[in-house]
Amino acid sequence: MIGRKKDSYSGWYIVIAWLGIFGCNLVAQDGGGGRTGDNDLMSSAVELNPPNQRLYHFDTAATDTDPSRALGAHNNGTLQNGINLPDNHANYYHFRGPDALDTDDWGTLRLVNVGEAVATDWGDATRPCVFEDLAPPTRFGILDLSRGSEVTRTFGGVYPPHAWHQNGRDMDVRYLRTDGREDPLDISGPDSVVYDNFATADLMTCFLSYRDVDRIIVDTEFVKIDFGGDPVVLHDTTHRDHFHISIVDPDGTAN
Amino acid sequence: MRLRLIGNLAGVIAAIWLPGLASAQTAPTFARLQPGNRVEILDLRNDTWRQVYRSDAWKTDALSVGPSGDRLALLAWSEGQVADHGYVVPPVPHLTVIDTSGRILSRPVAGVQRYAWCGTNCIVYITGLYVESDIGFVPDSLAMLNVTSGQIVALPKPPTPIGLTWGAFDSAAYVKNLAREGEAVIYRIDLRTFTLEATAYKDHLFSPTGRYYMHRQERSDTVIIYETSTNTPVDVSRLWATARLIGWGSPTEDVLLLARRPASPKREKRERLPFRAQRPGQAEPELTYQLYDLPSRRIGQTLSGRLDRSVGPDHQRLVQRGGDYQTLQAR
Repeated sequence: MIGRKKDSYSGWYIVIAWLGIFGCNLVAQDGGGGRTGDNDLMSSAVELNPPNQRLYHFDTAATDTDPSRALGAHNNGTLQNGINLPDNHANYYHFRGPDALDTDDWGTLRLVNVGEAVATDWGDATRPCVFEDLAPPTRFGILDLSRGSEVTRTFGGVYPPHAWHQNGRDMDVRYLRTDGREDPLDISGPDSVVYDNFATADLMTCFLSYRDVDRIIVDTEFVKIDFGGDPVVLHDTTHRDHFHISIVDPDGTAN
Repeated sequence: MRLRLIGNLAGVIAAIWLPGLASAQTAPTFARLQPGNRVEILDLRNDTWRQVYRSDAWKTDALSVGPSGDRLALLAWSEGQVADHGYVVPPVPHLTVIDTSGRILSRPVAGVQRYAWCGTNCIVYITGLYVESDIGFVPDSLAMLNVTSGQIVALPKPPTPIGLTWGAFDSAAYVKNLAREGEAVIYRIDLRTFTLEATAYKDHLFSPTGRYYMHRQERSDTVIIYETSTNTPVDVSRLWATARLIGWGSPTEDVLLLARRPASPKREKRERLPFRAQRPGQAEPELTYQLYDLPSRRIGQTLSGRLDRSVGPDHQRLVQRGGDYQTLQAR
């Protein structure tokens, strides 16, 4: 049961902690928190993830280059050389629903890195992006990224039932539950009694601590979180069973 | 003139779908969903709500008031079954139509994910299977319900319908399509001939007269107003510096409903504050709401308070202040 909330805290604590977070650039980390040491932007987990190994032959002892490219726009684009999100992590789970294995979890390396980096923060004992909830974290649930096929080497494109998610820059994340179950949650329905808006506020803050994140889409009517008027947050009534993270175009918008 | 035209169209549709339109009310009806799947209606004479209906569904949403004000529709969801972290049986929404006394008017229609009133007695809808995703469902059919008779007529559909509205101005349903290359975004279905045609429109949120439509850009607060006849943008960009668009603001006039942006302290570039969970009882701030007349480019009625979450017929909304409700009305 997550329920231990901070009733008060020092303003200085926030300033200091937040200064540490501001401007976080992505540094690939292993699930355990250590850097890979090969001076590239990929964690060992990403490099050793079987689909990525078969496609790109990444080497954990060498400096690999990022092959992924986001082409076009979120709602009209494709993904070139998609990177597969590792399915298992100590601090997140990937729920693929009716989709076949490794067909719904492809993104640009930058997007995959955001997911991994937030997961690492989420499990960090010091939890630098956590302000609301001091309870031990439960794993958060990642839903769809972009579609892809290792066999045909095609990634991205129109992905019903999503309007976006086309060029490897979008990720859906479940709202967190107080009962710790890794199940769906509709914050507008009766199971909203187990909705943990404290932990969810922290998780969103963790995502937002990375400069790459340029949009968080939620149903602001039901989410019970004060976003302080942050323009990064966009209201959408179809986001009651998950929130949506999107990132800036890693390779620019000219392609 | 516009009022007369709309009245005539409504009369024609009513003649087809509801011979006895005499029950149509004149005062606007405002309704809201309350916890426990309760539907309440506001008595504007004394600003009190009364319960008219309670659903035993798992959850209810998408409450709306029909154009005549004497009928309400909502989606009542059955509970899904969860196993292995996801739904093995997804929740199913049922389109339920009631009158203002809470009487169910037609047999609920299963699987309705999006719907729109198409007259006093007519609802067009998209059915589909619920999926945890941005659109929320995989569409499978498009149809029209006669509320009185319960008759359902299948409609032609674009490849992937994901939203729809009704254009009272030309008796057509406008359907948003999740467009692949070469496909149109908006399709028009003539509800008299049941013919489907692609359009060049970018969105389907038409003004009451059909003279304008608004296009909400994907992943953005940015809204562009288009003149329908030319399909070209209307420059109202200066509005967005001081106000946020809520939607259309009148059942008959081409009026935008705006919320003025409150003055906020200047932030350093890139400064981001942590998100905070709202505490129980935390009140939403009061804002100033305005109606903006598009043809004349003038601000009309202005009210301060909280925009009530209740729904009224045809874009009509309530502003609450100190327990009193006021209707936003175009002059």
